[in-house]
Amino acid sequence: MSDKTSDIVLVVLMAVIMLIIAYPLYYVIVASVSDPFDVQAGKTFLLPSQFTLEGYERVFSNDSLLNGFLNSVKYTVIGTLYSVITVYITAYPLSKKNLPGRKWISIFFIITMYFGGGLIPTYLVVKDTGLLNNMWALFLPGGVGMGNVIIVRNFFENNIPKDMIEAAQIDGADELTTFVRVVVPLSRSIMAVIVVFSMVAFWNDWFTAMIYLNDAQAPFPLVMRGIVIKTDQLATMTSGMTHLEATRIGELVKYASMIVAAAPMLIIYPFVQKYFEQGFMSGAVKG
Amino acid sequence: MSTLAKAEKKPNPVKAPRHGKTLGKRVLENWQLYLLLVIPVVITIIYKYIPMYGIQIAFRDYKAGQGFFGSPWVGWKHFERFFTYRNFGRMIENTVKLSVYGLLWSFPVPIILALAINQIRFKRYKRVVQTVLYAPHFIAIMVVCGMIRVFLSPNGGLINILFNSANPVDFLTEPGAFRTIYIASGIWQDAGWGTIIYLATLSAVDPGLYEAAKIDGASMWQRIRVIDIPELIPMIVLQLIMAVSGIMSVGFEKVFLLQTELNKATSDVIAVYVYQQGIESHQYSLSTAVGLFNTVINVILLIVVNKIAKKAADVSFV
Repeated sequence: MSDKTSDIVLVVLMAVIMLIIAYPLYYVIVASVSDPFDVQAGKTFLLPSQFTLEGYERVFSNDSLLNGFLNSVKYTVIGTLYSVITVYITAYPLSKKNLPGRKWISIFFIITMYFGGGLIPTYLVVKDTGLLNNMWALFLPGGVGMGNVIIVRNFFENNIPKDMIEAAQIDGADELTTFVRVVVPLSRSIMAVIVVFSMVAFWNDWFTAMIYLNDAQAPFPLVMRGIVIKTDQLATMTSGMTHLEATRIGELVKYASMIVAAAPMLIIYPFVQKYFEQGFMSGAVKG
Repeated sequence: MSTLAKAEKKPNPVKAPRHGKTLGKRVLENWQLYLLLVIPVVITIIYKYIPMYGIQIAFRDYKAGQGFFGSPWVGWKHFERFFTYRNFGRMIENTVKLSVYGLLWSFPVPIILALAINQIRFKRYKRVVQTVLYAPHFIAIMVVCGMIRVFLSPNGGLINILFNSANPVDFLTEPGAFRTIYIASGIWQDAGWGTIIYLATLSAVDPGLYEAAKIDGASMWQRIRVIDIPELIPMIVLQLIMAVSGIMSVGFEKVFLLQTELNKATSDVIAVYVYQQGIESHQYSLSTAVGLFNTVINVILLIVVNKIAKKAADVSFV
């Protein structure tokens, strides 16, 4: 096969794979704005039928779902701040090659990547430290995100010019000032990656919230569970409607809530996509 | 971990004499760096190390008032209870089968995709392919399971409309369909994301090699076979070691969300049992014992596979 033929085969093959990956998402988007009975009749493979935004209106006018959405926003913002700060203050000292004890401190943290107490011992510690029904139960039991620490530490070691740090210190800056004024601003690209990874983790989390928090504190995916998996929440939402109307609203809300949950993260990751390979490479070389 | 230790051993003996300062002085000089570490260390001790210490409740009858080491010692009681549980065999079988089949089907996909993506010469197209392939990784498990439920629904679900409109099937009540659903959706969600590590490895290949191969008249397939695959082997072995050592840890969340009363014959796995006994039934010690059993098997697998890989390919991970 000549190179040109192989190129064409490759391009077509990749187009097919992209279609397989993207079509299920596209179908859900179309279904979320179409009449549910047309969806069930197979009339929405390509384009919406009887366009409607009622599904989205229902999602945002339902108290539980709206409350879940706002909780998720709150947890994602605070969780990401927590995560980025703890990762940075761990990674910076560990990037200093001549810090006495660095090896042992690294081992102390890295062990937690491979061993843990497991579900119940962790649950009992969370309970004993008074974090049940407390938002911080979503963040603290995760400790420090060591995968991210290794990525950031390697970035500090390899991508921050040594002379910039030395220049700052000749000017009389101490370690903390150098960290805040020189190192943090120079690491914006890797910070963007860590921010996105953390946002995704907190936005998508439901299990931690299910075991540690109460119903009023449930994040969006956990409320959604009562719509798309268990359907008890859905039953409450549609009580008093005729069977036909309940089915219609139920299907619309299912599709719309899935898009509401998925869309924010799908919109942000392409912005940092070009740094993924770099981040993974530095993480893999020195695990 | 050993590479890490090796890499960090070198600078210390060299730098210490050059500075000509005592250890105490160097520690004092760096007090601000240690200050930064105080909060991370405290959080890690409380929420990572104390729970590890708490694993001993697997050998005790945990009582809330008596804590991790005040509760009465009962030895292997909880393990025996687990081993003689009537569904023990089924749970082990389901866990191992779901993992092993999952590994066999899912593991090669990112490698093949990465080899193909790496050959795309049009930069823009390559980026679009990558963006699309990464997308499902960013979607919540809850949404993926919701999609699975609506697509497989017997009432107008996509799969039934497409293939079975005459007599729709409720796939999630079919034990025979569970593994296929779990594994196929896993490939859909993470195969694209899994290419990153291989693409990063391939980006380290010297472009001169490709040029030389082209001048020698090597086809795309020959370039992949002679240059790319050998370059990937160490990373493939590394990824395989990690995957095999996680055989006993199936993704709890997805199994939990896709389990129904009727597909339990294949979807009943250890991780769900740990959750149900621990969180739902408050059998803290039993749940911890089962979790520990799982971890021990994973560690044994890690050691064995690492040894085999070391002998076979001279690659090791720990």
